[in-house]
Amino acid sequence: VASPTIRIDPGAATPVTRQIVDQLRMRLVERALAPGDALPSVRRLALDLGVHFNTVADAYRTLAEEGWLDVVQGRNVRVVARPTPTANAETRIRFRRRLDQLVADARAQGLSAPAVARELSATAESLKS
Amino acid sequence: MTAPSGPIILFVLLVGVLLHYVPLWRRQGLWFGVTVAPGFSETREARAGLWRYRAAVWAGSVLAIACLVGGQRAALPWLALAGMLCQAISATLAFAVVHRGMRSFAVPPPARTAPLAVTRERLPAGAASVLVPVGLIAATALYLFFTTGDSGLDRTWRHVYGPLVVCAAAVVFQLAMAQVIVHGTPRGRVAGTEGWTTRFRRATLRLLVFGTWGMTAVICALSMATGGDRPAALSWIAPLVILASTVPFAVQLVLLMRDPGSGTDGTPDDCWKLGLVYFNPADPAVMVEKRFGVGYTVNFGNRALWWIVAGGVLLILLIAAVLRTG
Repeated sequence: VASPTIRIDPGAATPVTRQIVDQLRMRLVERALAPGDALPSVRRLALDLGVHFNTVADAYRTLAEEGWLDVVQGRNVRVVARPTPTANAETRIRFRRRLDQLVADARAQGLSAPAVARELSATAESLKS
Repeated sequence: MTAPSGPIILFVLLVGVLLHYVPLWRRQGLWFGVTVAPGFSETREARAGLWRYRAAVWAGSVLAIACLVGGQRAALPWLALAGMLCQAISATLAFAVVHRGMRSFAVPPPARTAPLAVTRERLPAGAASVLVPVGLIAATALYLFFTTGDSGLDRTWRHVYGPLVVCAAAVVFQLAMAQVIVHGTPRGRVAGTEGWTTRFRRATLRLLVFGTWGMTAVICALSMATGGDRPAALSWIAPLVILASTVPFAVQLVLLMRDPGSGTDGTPDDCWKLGLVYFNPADPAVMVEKRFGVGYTVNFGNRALWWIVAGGVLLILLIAAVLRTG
């Protein structure tokens, strides 16, 4: 089984810390990274990505605050079991708003409505499996 | 000046041949230190750049040979050194000029990737990487300590242990460099190049570690056989050991460069000054892969490097002081 990887684009508008957080969270939600798994140290991941140590440290800290990671001095980073929080109405509204914004953004960049619908259906299907 | 210049001319020609091929020893996504599209090296512009570089290299080499011959005839030994310097400078400048010309064909750097797996990397032979040269030096020092008194030769401490001290310093330097490669270089920043980068790192580390073993063995043998009791066979065994401990690994590195899966190195083109010097304060890597030549170069923008340089200078001063007092 190929080990999970992380991918960043330093030239993108999204800050690199945010890119790292988003991608790691995706791997954690997908269970590509399971509780007990070790992650590279702050130093090693920063070296491999070619970004400042603080960028990776901030990303790890954010995920630790969300309860995904246990970070000891930035050296030993482990995925921890995280109880699934109960989503309230506000969470659903916020998700819907972000989804609408994302769809609008995709359509503004030229993606047709059927193409967007196909992508959303594929995502919905993958959630069922 | 009566020394024969034939071997030196041969050496200059050999350097010329090496410089002729050096631009081809690169990751396949790079051309003269610039990130280019796949297949760019086959274009007319790329070949013209290569031709210009090679013309400058051979012009510099011919000038070097002319200086060697002229220096010999006019009894001006410094002219030979100036000639060889000309050869190196002409190749470096030619590379920088062609690099600048190629910048207009640069493509945006690909997105960077990093594995999330935790791997414990070690030197090729593990603890033996350090224990072998340290053991050899220690054993030689002990042998010299117990035998030099009986040799009847009037030798100072510096003459007996000097080569060993210099060898120990070289061992420290080379093994420190190997450790920096293990702990201070990226494992492949571009998707699909991780495997190639791992092979390249291993080959470089093997060259460093086994080259260190070969060098230590030769210096120790020469140290033990100083004076009039040096075996004749040592004069051909010593170069043979050096060649055997370096050439196979150097060849392996050069062959790796022809692998089509090498891609690019993920460092920004803008941070390569003249295509030769890497200066990127935003990159925590202490060393990165060279874009001119094979191996690793330092990141001049990394502050940790200056501590390493300071340590190296201190070590050299310490050795000079020790040898002077000996």
